[in-house]
Amino acid sequence: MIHSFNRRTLLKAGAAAGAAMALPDFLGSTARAQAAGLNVFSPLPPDPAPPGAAKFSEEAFAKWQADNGATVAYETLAWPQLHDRMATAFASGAAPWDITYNCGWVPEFESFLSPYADTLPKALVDDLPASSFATTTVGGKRYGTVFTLSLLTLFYNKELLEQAGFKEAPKTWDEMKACAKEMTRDGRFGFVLNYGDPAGIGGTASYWMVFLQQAGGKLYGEDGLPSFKSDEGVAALQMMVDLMPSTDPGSISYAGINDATNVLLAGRAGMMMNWPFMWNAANDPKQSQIVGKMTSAVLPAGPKGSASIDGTDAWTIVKSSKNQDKAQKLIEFYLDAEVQKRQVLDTGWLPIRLSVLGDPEVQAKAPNAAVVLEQAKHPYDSFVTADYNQVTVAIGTEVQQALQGSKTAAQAIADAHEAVTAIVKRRG
Amino acid sequence: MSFARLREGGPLRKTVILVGLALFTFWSAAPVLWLIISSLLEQKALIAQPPDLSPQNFTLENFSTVLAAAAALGRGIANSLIVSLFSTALALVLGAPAAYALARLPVPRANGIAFLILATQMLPGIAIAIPLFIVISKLGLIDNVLSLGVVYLSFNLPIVIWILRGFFLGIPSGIEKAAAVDGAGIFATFWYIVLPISLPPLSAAAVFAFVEAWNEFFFALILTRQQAQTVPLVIAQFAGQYQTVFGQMMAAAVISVAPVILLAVLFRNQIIRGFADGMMKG
Repeated sequence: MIHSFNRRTLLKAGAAAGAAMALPDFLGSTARAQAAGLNVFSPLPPDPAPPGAAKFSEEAFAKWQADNGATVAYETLAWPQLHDRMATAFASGAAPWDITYNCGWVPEFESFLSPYADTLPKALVDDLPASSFATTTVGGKRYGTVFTLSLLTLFYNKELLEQAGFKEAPKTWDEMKACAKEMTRDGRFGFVLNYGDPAGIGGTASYWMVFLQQAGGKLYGEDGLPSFKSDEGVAALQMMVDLMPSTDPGSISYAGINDATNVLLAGRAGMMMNWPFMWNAANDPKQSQIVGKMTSAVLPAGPKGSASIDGTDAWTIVKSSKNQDKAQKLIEFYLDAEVQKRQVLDTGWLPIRLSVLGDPEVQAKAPNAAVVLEQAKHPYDSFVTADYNQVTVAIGTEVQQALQGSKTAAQAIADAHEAVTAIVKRRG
Repeated sequence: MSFARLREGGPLRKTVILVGLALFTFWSAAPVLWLIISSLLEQKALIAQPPDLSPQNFTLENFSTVLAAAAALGRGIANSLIVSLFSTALALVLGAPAAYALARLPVPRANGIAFLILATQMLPGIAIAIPLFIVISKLGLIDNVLSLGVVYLSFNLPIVIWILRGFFLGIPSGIEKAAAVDGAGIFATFWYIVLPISLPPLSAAAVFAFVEAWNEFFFALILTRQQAQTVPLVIAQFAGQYQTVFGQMMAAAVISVAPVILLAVLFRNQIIRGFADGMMKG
């Protein structure tokens, strides 16, 4: 049989081919319409990541997606690059995510986020430390939920401490200075920290904020203006300066906590402030030379007691998300007690739920959980604001100068106060 | 001083020169050597001070771990190759005629235009990040390797133009006049006479543009998501907030730097001649 190939058959063939090509797309879009697609922007493990991005609660996560008719796609990125990508996407008005990780940036990105955490179930909220919302609350509205209790505590090398003649961790500033001094011997130092980068949570300024709160000071007064040009502000910095002779001199150039952590893990320093994740690293024989020697304790008390700062790892919902309800449900799933338990057991990241933190199995697997829980009973304000980066750079650079001896503590605090006052006045 | 005279020198003179060259070679190669050594060491050996180079600390585990997660690295290398080749090819195709025009044709204010092209390199990337993101996003080209290649063209093109313009300025005008006498127009002269004798600077410019695109980080960070991630982003994933896995990072770097080194080795003669002929005369 011979077919004539005329204009009509060509059009028919074209239409059939077009339909065949469009069919998969059509079916795909129908399927997508039935299952809500949620895009989640998350750090890459081993930084804190949710089920599906990190290896825990994977079956529960698959079940949640099936039960809720949702498909979750993760966009993961190394932690140090998260902020810049978020800032660019938000500023251009083209953020493609439903849920984003946040770390002290809530005030900065508040106008792009939904205050969903005000509507979380009461049973869940009651099981979270009230102060965990401090860094995610702006103008009285809660924009995020912290999902891991990440406070700075004291990590110390028990063996070095005992060699220096101490039986337990220092509990006061004076004891801390004495311990650090005695541990500084044989090429080792009593203390190490990363003072190289002034900015952000975990930067030089934030460490001074720890001491500031221990001295009984606050960064801002009731009127919102800086209030740290005070005896407490100077005492906090003086404490850091006093520690310097027993501090690894490299500290002034260590830009990230990784650098300082490595010094401790190599057995070249005796103590440091660090985050709970340190526990796993210290006990991993592939990374650490001090396996079994690391212990943690509540940070030594200043004149007004112990205090810390909060790592503020939180989940937020993007205002432009078309799946607000599903996104909130997914965050509630991340905070489910069983998921939180697997989070700590399988990844080492502590849960935020108080009931899970108190779970005997959790405390056995993560002995530092009890210490962090105890630390959480003391103040831990990170003083985050929309201009937190500017504020911490202004303070941190002055702190660095005092630590290097080019300014007195009083002079550095006075200069930092002046700089931060100017920043605050620009807030309007 | 000619090599002939050096050869005439005494043994002491030769030894000094050889030692000097050896030291310079070691100085230049040391970072690459350390990259390779640290890719073979365990983390705890790397963080020891000084690093513990005992034989028992050497391992291939960093490479096996990186290769086990090869999807990301493989995709990163493929993306980097596409972006770098695309951007370099486009830069040469557009840059060579532009450089020739600025060097040899009666273009009004040619020097001013050349400096204006150079001036575009003085604008920090961050200044154009958000406008660029908006444009690329509106075009639906976020996470697209070709759009990244076009963005890279914005800094590769000026480099290519400047390298080639320097070379074209040094070509004796008699060659072009002879071509004109034989009836060749501007395009014919450029295509049949100038380009064939410009292979060394073209190679040098190509390698330079390729390496720039291969190493670029900032625009790759903001303009890609998962599918179009390039090698520098993949390598950066080994540095987290609390932990940097140095050994694996170095192993990934060793694997990913191989294509660039291969390129440099293959074109080493052209690169050296190209820079000598082009940049010095610019």
